Amino acid sequence: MLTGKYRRALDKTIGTICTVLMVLLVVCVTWQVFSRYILNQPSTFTDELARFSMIWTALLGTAYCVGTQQHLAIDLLTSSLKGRKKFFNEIYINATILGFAAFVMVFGGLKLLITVHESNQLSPAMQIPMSFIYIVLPLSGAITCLYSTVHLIQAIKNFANPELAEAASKES
Amino acid sequence: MDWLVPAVLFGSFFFLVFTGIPIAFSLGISAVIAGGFILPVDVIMAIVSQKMVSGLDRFALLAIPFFILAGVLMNNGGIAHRLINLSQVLVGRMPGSLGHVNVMANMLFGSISGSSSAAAAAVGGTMGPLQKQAGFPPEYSAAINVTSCITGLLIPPSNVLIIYAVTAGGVSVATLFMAGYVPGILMGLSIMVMGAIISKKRGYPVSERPTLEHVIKVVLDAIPSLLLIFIVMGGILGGVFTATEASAIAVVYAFVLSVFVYGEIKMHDMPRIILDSVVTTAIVLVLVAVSIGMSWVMTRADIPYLITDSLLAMSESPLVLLLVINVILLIVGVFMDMTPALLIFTPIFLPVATEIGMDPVHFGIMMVVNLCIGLCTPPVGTALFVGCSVSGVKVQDLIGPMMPFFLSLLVCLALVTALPQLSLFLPSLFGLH
Amino acid sequence: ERATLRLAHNLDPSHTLAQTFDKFADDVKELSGGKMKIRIYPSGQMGETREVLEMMQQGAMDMTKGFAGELESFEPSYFVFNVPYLFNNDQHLKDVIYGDVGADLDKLTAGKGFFNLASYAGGTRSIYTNKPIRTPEDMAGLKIRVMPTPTTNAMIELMGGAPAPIPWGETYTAIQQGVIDGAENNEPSYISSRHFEVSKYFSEDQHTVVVDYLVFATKTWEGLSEEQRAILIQAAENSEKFQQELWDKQVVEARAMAKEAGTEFVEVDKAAFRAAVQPLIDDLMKDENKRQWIERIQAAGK
Ligand code: NA
Ligand code: NA
Repeated sequence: MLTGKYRRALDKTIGTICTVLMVLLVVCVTWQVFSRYILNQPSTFTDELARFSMIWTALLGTAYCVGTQQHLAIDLLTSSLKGRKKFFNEIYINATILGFAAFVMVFGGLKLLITVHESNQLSPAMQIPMSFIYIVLPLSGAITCLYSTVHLIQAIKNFANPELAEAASKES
Repeated sequence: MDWLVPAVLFGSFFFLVFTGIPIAFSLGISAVIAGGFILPVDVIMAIVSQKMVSGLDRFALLAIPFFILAGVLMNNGGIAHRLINLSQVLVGRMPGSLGHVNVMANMLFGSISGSSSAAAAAVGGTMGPLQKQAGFPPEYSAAINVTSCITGLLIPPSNVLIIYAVTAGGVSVATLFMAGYVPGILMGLSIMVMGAIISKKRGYPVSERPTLEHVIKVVLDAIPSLLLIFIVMGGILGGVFTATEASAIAVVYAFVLSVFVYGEIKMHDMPRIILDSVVTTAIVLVLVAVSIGMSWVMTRADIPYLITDSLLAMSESPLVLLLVINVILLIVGVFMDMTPALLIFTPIFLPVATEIGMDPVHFGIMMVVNLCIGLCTPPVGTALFVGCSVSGVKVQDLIGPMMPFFLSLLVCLALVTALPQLSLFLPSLFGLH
Repeated sequence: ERATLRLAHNLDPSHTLAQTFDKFADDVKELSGGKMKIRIYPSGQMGETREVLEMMQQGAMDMTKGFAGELESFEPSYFVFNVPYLFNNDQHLKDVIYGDVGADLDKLTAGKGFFNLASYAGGTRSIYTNKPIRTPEDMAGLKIRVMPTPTTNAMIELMGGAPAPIPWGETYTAIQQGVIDGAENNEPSYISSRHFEVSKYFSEDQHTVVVDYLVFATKTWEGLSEEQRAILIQAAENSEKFQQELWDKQVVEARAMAKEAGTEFVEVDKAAFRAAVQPLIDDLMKDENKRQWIERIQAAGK
């Protein structure tokens, strides 16, 4: 469903957005110091902009790391599993991540986003709608769902045909 | 009913973690399941998701991405390499030398940044590869890095001491800052002593006696890199920027030095380097965010009070009470981050402590030393997670190597608890107490 | 019927309002014959006010302490409490918050999930730095930590200083190390934040007022019986009186404590500051809605 060039395009897009946000973070805080110390006229929005960019970087980065399977886990038990048991465990892990992303990040995030949007909550310094910040929750949740579904389907395929999967893992 | 929620919370969490679910998701899911017993499920899902955003809405947390990025730049750009050459020349003859350098760097770095995770990221990210090159096992280096990065929370400036002062009410920040020096340095030294014992026993490498010519060359070569420390420290002490902002300045300086002065990083490498640090940042920050959600559920379910009430019912003797408080805090530190733990337990324990004649300054230092240990333990341990991400060592592989250092830290905790003078001597010397 | 209501606030337990809320909880328990209980979570254990207000919208929390600056994010009309020198004195402020204007403000956010059950006057905010400030000229180049709203930023600039958005928790070290020159707040906050240790001149320009609220969740309120509501309203009224007495005492204590620690209270040429910020008020008056609020408040002071 999401393989080859489409997968690479998605990875690339999220990676690029995160990279740009990280640069923005550095620029914001550096400008904050420069404007206060050199210009003697402290910038009044960089503090807020930096915090909001960090939230976006962290949550989009979270989805990205689900894609690259880099989140910290304790694989004491799972690393000892072999064959079909291993694939069953992968199905369980990816289904659980999918569940969390769908229910908490997408559903819970949308519930929150709708309330925040309807009450027209504005950020104190920049006076931008707070929904611009909270929207990263369902967005990152949806991307996490996408990645974990891809991994889930792969794990189910492997589970159904372990010999094939083992052969494939030896090739790579 | 009382114990149902904590049983569900911890039970589901351990089940999820040991069946291989990433720690961040395990925390979030167990918070939602346990929270489902006290609030409607759709509400608790919205709250946990809210905490994933608003838990990160703190300016001080910016130190984490910045020092991670600075660390990656220093590694790739030749800065770390030059600093390690220098430290090898300086303390290379001591057993387990690079470990000591790591501890000292953490004390220095943590003291200025006031953030254990920032120190673990910047120092560990730099020292780790070099220690590996020099023949130290990565697990050993990471264990030293994680257990020593917490010293910066005691050595001022320190935001957690301010949080304690404000929560305790009527405690002077200046006095607390003074009181933190000796315990903080003591913790660092105890790690170094343990490191020396282990290194000697296992025969970890000691470098050869360098020639004078070599020393001069290495020192000169290291000056621009050393300037980074001077710029960061000088900038903070000189009032140019705050400790949090200093982390961004460190990035800018490391970037300029690596790309334009040393030329060891090419501009086209930058996107990859930045993306690397985004990955580490996201792994750490999502853990911070979700653990704030988990402690919200704990607080809302009155779990802190539940544990405290049942344990404090045990005795009236001051010594036993102090022991019980320390044991509770050690357990709390296992599951909770420093800030929520301070906010929740200071008002609970401080009255007990003053009742048995303990000084609030002494008590605050004891509490912070205690909770510092918790920062190095799974499942909720920011310092541990950062240390693991920058070194690539797995959490479970780090537990064993960290054990001797935990012992050192527990000895420090016992000393800080039993000897008020360790905390109060400096403040009274400077007329602050 | 039995009910436990939950109140989360971000003050430390020794603060006047924290004590007021403890008294509120006691009153509710007593008036209900023990059937109603208020569980209090102090020190920001549950999160910052903005987060707790969102929790109240979701139905996860029942009450919080909100101050006008925080409520402004949800309802722009609270800007009035950020307008410098709009209130003539303490009585004028109390006439407003306990009068028609206050009653209207209290209900404005009800549709968004919360409303004000009680209002508390918290004195005035003044600037504290390490040099005495008597006229706007003394403010030249001084970097002052503020709540970063457009109105406050403009005010500090017109007063001659430079507004710096430093987080409240980092303000202590920022002043100590000289990153900024000072901050602004009322006397009890100047003491409880320990900022008196690092800034020795409390210059009483009294630029804005402080108004705090006991904010109640609409959802929770709708689920309560008439009897329970009456008990809460009664206890809220008691808490307003209790807070006023306690407040006056606490200001005296805070000033005595600051003086003992070496703080100098500086008398300020308020007329000069009032003139300096006039352009900000002229600017606000251009907006029809804002002009109406400002005029209503000015009328209440005559
Ligand atoms: Na520090
Ligand atoms: Na821990």
